[in-house]
Amino acid sequence: MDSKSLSVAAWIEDLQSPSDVLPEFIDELRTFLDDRARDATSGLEEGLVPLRLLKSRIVSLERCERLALAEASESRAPEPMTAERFRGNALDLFVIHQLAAGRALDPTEVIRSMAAAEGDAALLDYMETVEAGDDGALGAVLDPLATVVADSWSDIAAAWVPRTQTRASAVFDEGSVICTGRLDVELGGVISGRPGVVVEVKSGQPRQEHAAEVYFYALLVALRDRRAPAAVLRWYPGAAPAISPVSAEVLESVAVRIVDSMSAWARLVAGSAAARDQSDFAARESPGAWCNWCPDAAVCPSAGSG
Amino acid sequence: MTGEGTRKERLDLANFARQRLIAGLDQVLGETFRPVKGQKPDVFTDGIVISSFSLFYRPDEDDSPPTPFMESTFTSRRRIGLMVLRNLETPSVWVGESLASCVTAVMDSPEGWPIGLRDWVESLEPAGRAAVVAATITWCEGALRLVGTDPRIVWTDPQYPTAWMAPGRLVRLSANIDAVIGTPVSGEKLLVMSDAAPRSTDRIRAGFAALVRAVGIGSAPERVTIGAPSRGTTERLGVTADLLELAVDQVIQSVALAADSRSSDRKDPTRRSDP
Repeated sequence: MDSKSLSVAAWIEDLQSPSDVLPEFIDELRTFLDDRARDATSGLEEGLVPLRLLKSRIVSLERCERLALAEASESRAPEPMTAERFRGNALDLFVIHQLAAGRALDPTEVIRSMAAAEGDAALLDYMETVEAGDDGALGAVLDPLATVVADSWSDIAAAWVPRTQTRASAVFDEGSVICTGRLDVELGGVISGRPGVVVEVKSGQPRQEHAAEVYFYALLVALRDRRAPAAVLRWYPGAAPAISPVSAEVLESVAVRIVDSMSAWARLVAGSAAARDQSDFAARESPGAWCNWCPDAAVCPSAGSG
Repeated sequence: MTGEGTRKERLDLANFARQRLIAGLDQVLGETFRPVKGQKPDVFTDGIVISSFSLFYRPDEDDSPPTPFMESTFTSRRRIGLMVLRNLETPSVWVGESLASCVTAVMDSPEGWPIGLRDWVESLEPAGRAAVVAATITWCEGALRLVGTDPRIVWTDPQYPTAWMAPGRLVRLSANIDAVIGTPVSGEKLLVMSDAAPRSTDRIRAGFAALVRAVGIGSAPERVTIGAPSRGTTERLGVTADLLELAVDQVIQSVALAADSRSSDRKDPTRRSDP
C-alpha cells in the first residue's frame, strides 16, 4: 500500500466542500428526537430518567436486550485493563502525541509520560506489571503501533485545528434522554473554516457496527454545532482510512436508530425496575458472538444458541 | 429588583446579597471561625472555603470524601486554556490557525502562572506536555466554538479567581467564572462553562457565580450564561434577588455542614485520617 493511501492528511485534503446538510434539517431532526424522547419516557417514574444512551448501549440494544441490561448493571465497576484495552488506549495516546508534538521517538516512555499527565493510574499499573514480567514486552507492543501512527497521522496542517478526545452530547425533551460521545479526533469544523471531519481510531479489525458508531458521533456533532461534519473517518492501524460522507439521509437513519434505542431502553428500565428481580422480567434474548462477553452468559438460557 | 436594571439597582442587589450572606453566616457560625487576634489568618487551613465544586458536597450523603487534588490534563486544561484565550489575537480570519501556536507560546512562558500549576507543568516529560497541549487546544476550541471571538469578551485570569472573604470570618467563597462581557458600571454578563448534564442544581450554580461576583466587586452582574461546549448550548439567566437568595441559602447550608464536619473532626481527631 503506498504511503499516500495510508495518510489521513492526504484524505482530508481531498475534502473540498463542507457538508450540504442544511441547519434547518438538523433542527427538524432535533424536534423529531425531542418528541420521541417525550413519548418514550412519558410513563417512566422520575427516578428512572434521564435515560443515557451511549454508542455502546445502542449497539448492545441492537444485538440483544438482555446483553444491554446486563452490561448496564455491571458498568459501575471500572473495566479491568486488558491487553486489548491497553493497545486501544496506547493508540489514542500516540495519535494525540503525533498531532501535538510529532512522532513518538521512545514509544514506551511516551505512553508512560502521557499516562502520568492524564493521571491514568490503571494504565501505569498495567505497564509496570507487564514490564516486571518481561523487560521487552511493552516495546514489542508499542513500537509497531507508534510506527503505524506516524505513517498515517503526519503532516496534518494546523489549519485543521486537530482536537482530541472531544465531547459531543445531545439532550432531548429537556433532559429526559441524554446521548453522549467522546470522539477520538475532530478536524476542521466551525472555527477552522474547513469541512468538519470526525475520526474514530480503532485498534482491532473492522466490524460492521463501527460505521454506525461513527455516524452516531456525526449526528451528535451536527446537533452540537448546527452544522454537520462533511465526513466521518474510521482509522485502523496499517490500513487506508475508511472515509464516508455525511448526508441528510445518514443523519436521519441515525436519528431513527436512536429513537428505537430510546423506546427499547425505556421499556427495559421500566420493566426491570418494576420486577426488581430480573428473573421475573423478560428482556429479548438474541444470541450471537456477543454471548462470549455477556455478563449474563452463565445464566441466560439463550446464551450460545445463536 | 434585577441585575438587568440600572447601575443603582445592581449596587442595591449586591448590597442585599451581602447582608443576607453575613446574617446567614452569623446565624450558623456564631462566634466560631473568626480570625484570632495577633495571628495571620489562613482560611485554607483553618477556615471554610466554598467553591463551585464544593457547593454541593454533602459529607453525610456522599459515599466517599473528595479525593485529594492532583493536577492532570483534565484539571489543568481550563486554567491554561483561559491564559491562551486571553493572549489569542482574534482578528485573524480563522482563529483556529493560531490556536496551536498560542498554546505552545503560553506553555513556554509559565512565569506568571499559579505556582502549583507551573510546578506541575515544569515537572512533565515532553510527552506529558504534549498531552497537556492537546487537551488545552481541545478546551479552547470548545470555548471559541461556543461563544465565538467577540472582542468584548474578557476571559478571566485563572491566577485571580473571583472570590470573596467574609468580613471578620475565616470563610471564603470562590467561583469559577470563565468570561465577562461589560463592566460593573455598564452591567456585567458572566459566562460559566460546564459540560455536566443539565440538572436541577444548574440555577443554583449560576446564582453562586453571580453571588460571588456581586459581593466581590459590590455590584451584581446583569446575567449569567451557562454554556455547554459539548452540547453547543447556552442558557441565559437574569440575575434577580431570587436567584441570589437561592445561592445564599445553598452557601449557608454548605458552610453549616462544613463547620459541623470540622467540629466532629476536632472531637475525634482520628476521623480526619480515615480513608
